Amino acid sequence: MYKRPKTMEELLQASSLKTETILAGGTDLVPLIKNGVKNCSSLIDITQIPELKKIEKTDKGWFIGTAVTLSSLAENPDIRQAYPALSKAAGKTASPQIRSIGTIGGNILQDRRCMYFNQSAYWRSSLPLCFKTGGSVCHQAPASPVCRAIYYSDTAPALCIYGALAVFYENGCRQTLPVLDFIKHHTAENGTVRYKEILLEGFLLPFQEVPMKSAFEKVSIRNSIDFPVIHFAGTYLPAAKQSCLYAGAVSHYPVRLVKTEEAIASSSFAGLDALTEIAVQEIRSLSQLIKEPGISPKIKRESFKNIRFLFEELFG
Amino acid sequence: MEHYSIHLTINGKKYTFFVTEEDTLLDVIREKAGLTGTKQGCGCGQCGACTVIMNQKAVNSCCILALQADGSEVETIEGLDSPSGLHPIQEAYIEKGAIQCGFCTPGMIMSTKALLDQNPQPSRPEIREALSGNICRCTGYTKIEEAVQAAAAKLKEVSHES
Amino acid sequence: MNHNFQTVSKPFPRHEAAAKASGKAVYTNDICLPGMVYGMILRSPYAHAKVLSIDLSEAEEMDEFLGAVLPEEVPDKLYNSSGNPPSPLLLKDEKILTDHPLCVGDRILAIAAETPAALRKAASRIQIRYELLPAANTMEEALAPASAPIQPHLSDTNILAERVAEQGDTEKGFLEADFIFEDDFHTSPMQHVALEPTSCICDFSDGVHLNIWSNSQTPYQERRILAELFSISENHVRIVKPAMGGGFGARQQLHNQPACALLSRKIRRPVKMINTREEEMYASVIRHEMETHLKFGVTKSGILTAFQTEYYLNCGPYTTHTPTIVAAASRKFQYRVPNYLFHGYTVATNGPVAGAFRGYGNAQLTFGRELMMSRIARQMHLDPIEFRLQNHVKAGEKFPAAAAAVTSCAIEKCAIRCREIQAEIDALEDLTENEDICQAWGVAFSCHGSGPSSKEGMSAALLLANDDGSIHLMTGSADIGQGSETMLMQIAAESLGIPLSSIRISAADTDKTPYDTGTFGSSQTYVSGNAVASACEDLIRKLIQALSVSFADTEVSFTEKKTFLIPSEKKELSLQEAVRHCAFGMKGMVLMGSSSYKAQESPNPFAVCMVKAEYEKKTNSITLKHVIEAVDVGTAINPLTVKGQIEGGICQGIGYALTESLEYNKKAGKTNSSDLLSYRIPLLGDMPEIHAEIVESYEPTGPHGAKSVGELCTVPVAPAIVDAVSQASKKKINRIPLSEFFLIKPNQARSCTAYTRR
Repeated sequence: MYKRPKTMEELLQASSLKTETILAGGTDLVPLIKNGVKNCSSLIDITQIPELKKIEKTDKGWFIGTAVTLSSLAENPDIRQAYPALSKAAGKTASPQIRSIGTIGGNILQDRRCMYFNQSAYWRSSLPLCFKTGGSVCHQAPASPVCRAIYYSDTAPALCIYGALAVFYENGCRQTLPVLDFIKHHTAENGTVRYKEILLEGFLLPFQEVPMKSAFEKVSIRNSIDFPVIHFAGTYLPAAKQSCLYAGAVSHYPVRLVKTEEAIASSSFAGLDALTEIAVQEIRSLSQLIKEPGISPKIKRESFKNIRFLFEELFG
Repeated sequence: MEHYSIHLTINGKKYTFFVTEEDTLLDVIREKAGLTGTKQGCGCGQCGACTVIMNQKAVNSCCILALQADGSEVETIEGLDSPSGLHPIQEAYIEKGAIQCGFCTPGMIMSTKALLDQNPQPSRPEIREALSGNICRCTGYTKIEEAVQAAAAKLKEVSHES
Repeated sequence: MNHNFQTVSKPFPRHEAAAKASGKAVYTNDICLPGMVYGMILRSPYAHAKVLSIDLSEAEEMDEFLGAVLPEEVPDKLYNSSGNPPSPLLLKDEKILTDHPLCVGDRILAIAAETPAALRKAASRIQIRYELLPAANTMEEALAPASAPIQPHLSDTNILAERVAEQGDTEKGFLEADFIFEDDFHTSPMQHVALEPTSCICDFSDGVHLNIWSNSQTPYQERRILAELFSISENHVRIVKPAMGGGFGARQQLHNQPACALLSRKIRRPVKMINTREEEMYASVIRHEMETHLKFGVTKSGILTAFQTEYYLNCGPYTTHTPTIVAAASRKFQYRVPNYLFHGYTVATNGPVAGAFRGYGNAQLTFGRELMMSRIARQMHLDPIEFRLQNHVKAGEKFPAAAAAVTSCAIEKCAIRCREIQAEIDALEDLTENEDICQAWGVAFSCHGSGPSSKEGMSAALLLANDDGSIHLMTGSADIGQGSETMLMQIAAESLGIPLSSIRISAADTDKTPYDTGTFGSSQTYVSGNAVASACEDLIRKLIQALSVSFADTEVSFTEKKTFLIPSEKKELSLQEAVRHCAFGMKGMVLMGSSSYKAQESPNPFAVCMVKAEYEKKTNSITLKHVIEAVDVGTAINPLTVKGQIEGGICQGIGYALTESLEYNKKAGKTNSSDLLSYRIPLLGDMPEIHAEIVESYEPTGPHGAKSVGELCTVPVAPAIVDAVSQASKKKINRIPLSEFFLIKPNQARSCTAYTRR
């Protein structure tokens, strides 16, 4: 069953999201369908609804519709001006072909990934089902009561640093939540095979204070296609020494580096190396690493040090 | 599995196809439209061999459901040459030796076209970025990069002449 | 040297490029036969198991399901899938389908359905029950004393074959040395990732004639193996190789064809089988994992006195090529050493099946050897290039344990050219060393053969002169994407003195073209090229005869200007004029030239590779900045193609050194590297600057002076990279991929100040 509503009204009437899967760009979903972990028996394509495809200035800030593609987000001059870290994160996601059709909503609502889950049914057939496929074990950490798959969205930390709100419908009611809370709800669910009735409309990004700097830094083994080894996003208001820092691809959701922000605020560090060390220690304490294909845990931990490049950009 | 009818414009020609939820855009292009120039290398958006241009953007046709593409304008490798000859991008790939086994070539050329349509004089970093969604296992990319530069120069000449 | 070449040594675009650029080239998957259906292999998800039962009943409920071939339905014969000519080194150890899978991906049954979608659905409805058996996943496990033999009919242990090559007395050689250097090296399994998946269409529907369209490097060997397997004569088997999307060794063997053929015979329909990328990754064939111990003896003045290696290759459960790969590795020691001992082992495990891969054993051994050569030089305060050159064999000298002497060698020119380019780069950009970054250069040499080093290469060519004087060249040689068809056409055009445009080629169709050993061992230029050159001589002889008869002149000759001189008429005719003259009339004749060529030599091409790497100290990350490779390939028949081979070889070497490995997952009992996200192949935006160079050289036994290039150029890249990274990071590294030790970063703008030398 495939539906392609043309208006929000039609969408809200059409969708009984318990049984249906929302389809936007499909760049995350289609490979999962091919791998037999999602099915395409009932799809609602939301890419023809004008409200969900717009980037517009409102009195509360900039609104980015859920079905805005990553390439149009990355190329949008207003967004590049106002939210450069988000623009860069969108432009660094996956490959040009994927950005052409993959959407910001889909990027945020992407499945968490794990080398035991992102495999074909054939590959997985020699192992018991894991949490994400309806079983009761995490192959990465058999003692873990929950799935430990990692959340890799490049745009997530960039939305977080700007204090974005997710605008969504749950059980038919329009609601907003800070984007990190929204992501946490999504990723908690996403470690199971239960699905909530959520329809994401878009993100509202508050206007930023003018002298604020912001930056995004992605570390990946190849310059394209790859998910991040790690990524960082941050804002910095020099006058107030106020910063907001996130690291991602290290846990279920992007982690906020509060202690590092405090160190910046109180200038309680001697030089970039020392600040980097504070941040590395904090990421270490917040991260929940798993084995990722082609990346050893040692290399992953060492990659935390690349936050110095974010600092160089923010303070430089 | 239900059947749906979709309308596509492929290389300027209008088509109606009957598809299921499972069919991809690549399936439609290759199997139903019979345009076998577009290749499948991985089936999951990781190699770029199936790249076509959909609504002016390079996309991996293996990971787009045919239903999603309903109403789109699609350009495939078969749409580039004309009775008067090859497209300047094709000529550049041939002259620069950018083609070896040729299996990545249609996808590479479509990524190149999507880039040059939007950015006729790209810098080297822009070329390297725009073509990094396409794997080539034969050439080491050196001659592909040269071909894109040469194609941009050829197209500039063509646009000056016209 | 001035050879006054007209067609050879010129950068012609390849003849099929326009077809490929416009999507018109026909690859196997683009072919659709009347009545054709779709097939696939159902494979074991376990490394070692016994099939207890196969339940087809749910699939059989589907109208679109067409049937299956089960393990008990295949001929009760073992075969070796390698596309090599018959040899005692090829051990028969696999079956078409098996109920006793010995690796993940082993073939259990073959099924067919009307459509690809129905095929996938049917596959999901078939239940196979297994009894799991203990598996030896690593060479260490397989070689443990308690380990059960995986191929008991071949060996009581998991060493399935051994190879010794020796010269002199290494014990004595080490005693004569002032210094001994020794170490252990490891290289990881790698997948070819030819972009076109392994594909075949088999039509055996009449049960008598087997027609196959497949991406094959070795159609004639495959014909022979299939004829033997099905007890039919070779002229009832036709193999056609359509346009082919790469090979790199992976298609130097049979894959799904035997099972697909049986399926076609059973359901009486042509069957198409295209591997998924996942099947390609670990259920087709891979490059052997290697363990080696290397020991060098060196005098104070930097002269090698002895070299010894124990060399272990992990072949998976089936030997395929392995004993020949081990033997080939023993023949690539390009330095003068009086005392040499190579001891190679074919080790069976329950890992993925390994087979031929560009470099054929050379890539692995050269990795350790060249790293050691650099290390020895540096420890002895010698220049790594001078140290190598001082010990390098020269033309007329022999490789250790070799029967024949090296016929041409311009490695010194390669080294000089590399150094010139290095100097240009160093003049344009600094070699940085500061608190953040350290950059350094590394170097490695390599050699290979031209045609199999076993000298098994054999080829034939047939030239049909059309009556307008154009030429149809027919060869069994399979162009797998490297451009060999154009190269052979250039050899013919040069030999005959006609323009390239006057030649058309048909190739690699066992019904229509003459025998060729196959596209492997970097054979095409030298072996197939010599066959073409020799067939051209035959055509010229025939034309001289025809002209002699026609003009009643016994003095007709072929001149250096590539014309036919008829003294009695004071006439000089081009080949095309001569053909037109002889084609019709009372004394007319059909003009054909043909020749069979059997390799007497396998001349060595040589390469020098230099790499500039950058180490980011605070993040323990590395980036490659430049790769220079200069090659001695004799005459480069087509410099555009040769440079393409070098650049592509470098890129594969970069992947091998940095990231590419089939990473084993113990819990899953198989590799994690099932797709092209988890197996990282370099992309354009990752690449360092590539500087591919061809030095002047001439091989006296080659066609127009040519040697090979294909495998040579990928071999020195990994050791040169690791040498550079070791220098930059000040770490000793004996394993690849480097992603085990460093964060790999693409060569991007921040760390890359300028794109130079263009």
